[in-house]
Amino acid sequence: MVEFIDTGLSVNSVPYLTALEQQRAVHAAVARGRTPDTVILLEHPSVYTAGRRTEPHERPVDGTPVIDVDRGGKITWHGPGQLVVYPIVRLADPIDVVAYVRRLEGLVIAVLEEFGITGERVDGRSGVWLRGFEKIAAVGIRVADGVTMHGLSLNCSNGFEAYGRIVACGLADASATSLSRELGREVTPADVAPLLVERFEAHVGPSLRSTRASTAVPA
Amino acid sequence: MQLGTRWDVGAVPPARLDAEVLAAIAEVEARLAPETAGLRWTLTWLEGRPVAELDDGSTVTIVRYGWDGLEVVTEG
Repeated sequence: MVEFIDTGLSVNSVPYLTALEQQRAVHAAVARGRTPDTVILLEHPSVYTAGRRTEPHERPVDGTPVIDVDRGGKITWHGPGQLVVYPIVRLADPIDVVAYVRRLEGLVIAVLEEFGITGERVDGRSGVWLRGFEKIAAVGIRVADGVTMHGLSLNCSNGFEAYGRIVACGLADASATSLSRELGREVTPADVAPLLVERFEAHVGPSLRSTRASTAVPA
Repeated sequence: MQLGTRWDVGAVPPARLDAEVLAAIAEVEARLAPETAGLRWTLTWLEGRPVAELDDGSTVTIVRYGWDGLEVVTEG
């Protein structure tokens, strides 16, 4: 069983550090077996976060604050109009972190298909892309004690000014897009969240211990 | 002053590491084999505690002491 919690979409967005504390609390509870696998869905007020692979020249040049976080990946932006999904889930043994990242990307690709948009993976670059160089979703995760943190962000109805101040995801030759930009109409995180929740277990389930256990067939 | 040490996956880790860290490193190597062939560990020290990192290009696996004792973290 996976629980889904909408902790703040639309006007109820959750500050990054508040959400990080919540992630850590849920992570500790899932790691100790006190809470089932939990997926947190929210939006953040505008913020830059830098993963482990961020290099100095990729940071904002105007002194905008950046939060350094314990996930993989480069620098990215979160803010209103972007759906942020933090799955706090126990991975099945043997733990395959790369497979889990690929399944999160597959989940986003499936959601995009519902809107008639063809998302794709790009070799050597995490996240989901359109036309090979426009990023629509970022993925950055952390696994400790067999349980995940952080996750994915999907551009729904956000603006793009914030991406102009950084080398987003470390890619000078890439740009960002969103569901709303692709469709020519507003599609918000609240519109997209239910579609993602519906498809979560089908796409990510093979990486989860709980899903594997509940669907296991006796030999 | 020594800032860091590198060694090949499968080779003998630095002798200064304690048994708990050595066991965690061996467990990571066993779990990730054979994809780790050709990779190298990097050992640094933070406030006297060892931090061993193995970067395979898409994920980084870190063995270090956290709040609750030794932890193995993977970031990707």
